[in-house]
Amino acid sequence: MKRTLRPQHLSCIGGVAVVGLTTLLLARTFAGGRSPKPPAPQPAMNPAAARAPNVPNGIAIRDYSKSVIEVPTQKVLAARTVPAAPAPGDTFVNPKAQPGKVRWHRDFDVACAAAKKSGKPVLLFQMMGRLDDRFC
Amino acid sequence: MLFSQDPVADFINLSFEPVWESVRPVPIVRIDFGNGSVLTRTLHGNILTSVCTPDGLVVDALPGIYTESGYVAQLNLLCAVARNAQSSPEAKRDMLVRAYHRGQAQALKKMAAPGQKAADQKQLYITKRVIERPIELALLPAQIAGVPQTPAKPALTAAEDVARWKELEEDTRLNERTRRRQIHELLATAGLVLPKQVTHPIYKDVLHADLDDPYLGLGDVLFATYPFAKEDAVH
Repeated sequence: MKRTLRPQHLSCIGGVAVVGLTTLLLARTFAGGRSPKPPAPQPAMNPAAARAPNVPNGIAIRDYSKSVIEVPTQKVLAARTVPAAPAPGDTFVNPKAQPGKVRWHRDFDVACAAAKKSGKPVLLFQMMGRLDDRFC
Repeated sequence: MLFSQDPVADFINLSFEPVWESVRPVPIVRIDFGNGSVLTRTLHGNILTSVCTPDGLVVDALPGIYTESGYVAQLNLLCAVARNAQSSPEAKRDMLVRAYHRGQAQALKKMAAPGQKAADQKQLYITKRVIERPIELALLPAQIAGVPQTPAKPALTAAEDVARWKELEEDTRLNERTRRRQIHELLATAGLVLPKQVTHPIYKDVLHADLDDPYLGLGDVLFATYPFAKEDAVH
């Protein structure tokens, strides 16, 4: 039986041929050492793109760029950070205590007024801290 | 505590119109040992007991802490001095109080017990039949009224209680010698004044606790070797 090439077969063979030819051309181009057209030089994004003197190439540019980005961020965070409030239980609370058995007046003026009525002298007890605190 | 003792509290309630006030917060030291034990102590606290006229003027003051019996005995004497000052003519009152303090300061300077010195002088003058009492003795009572009996030395058994009592006795002696003389000298110059006029000088010069110093005079000790003292001072 005689086989004949149908149109679908012909188009398939043609496509393969085109792909193969393209591949061959590209391979020849790179193997020949000719590099692709270099990209247009990019404008410097920041002054740090310039090499810092007396610094190893590459390292200085990368680190200096980072510090230019990170320092402003650090400043922003520091300005917005609110000092943490002390956790509950960290603040010492001086327990209250009975200030002895003396009948203390509320303040010095009240004691003086009572003294004018009773004729007794005023006893003014002054101290650091509070007499009604446990630690005083 | 002194004011929890019945004899002291009863005597004060009977003889005075008492009031207490805080001159500043007391420094508190807390040492956390990390094993659940926490030591809490006050630091550099000190007290001042002033006896004032009903007009609120300071007649005399007791510096620091006393034994119960010493405290009551001194308060009894000061109560009598204040009553005598109040009963004297107003125009002479300031002069009499200054003279009283001069006499007491001189007596203490000579290391004599003030009460004994006054008693000796009175006896001398009675013997010589001098009619007028020296002005320095004018405010002192002719007789000391009876005071509630507080034990001169309580029955103490624990070693630390005995040690603490000895410290109190030593404090009482120091108060009655050196510190009382300083207060007498100060009040002999100041005369009858309001408490606020003498509180800071007494705390600073007699009790050695400068109320205006944020570190109460302890700055040199606390920051002698502290490397960040300057930075902390700025903040």
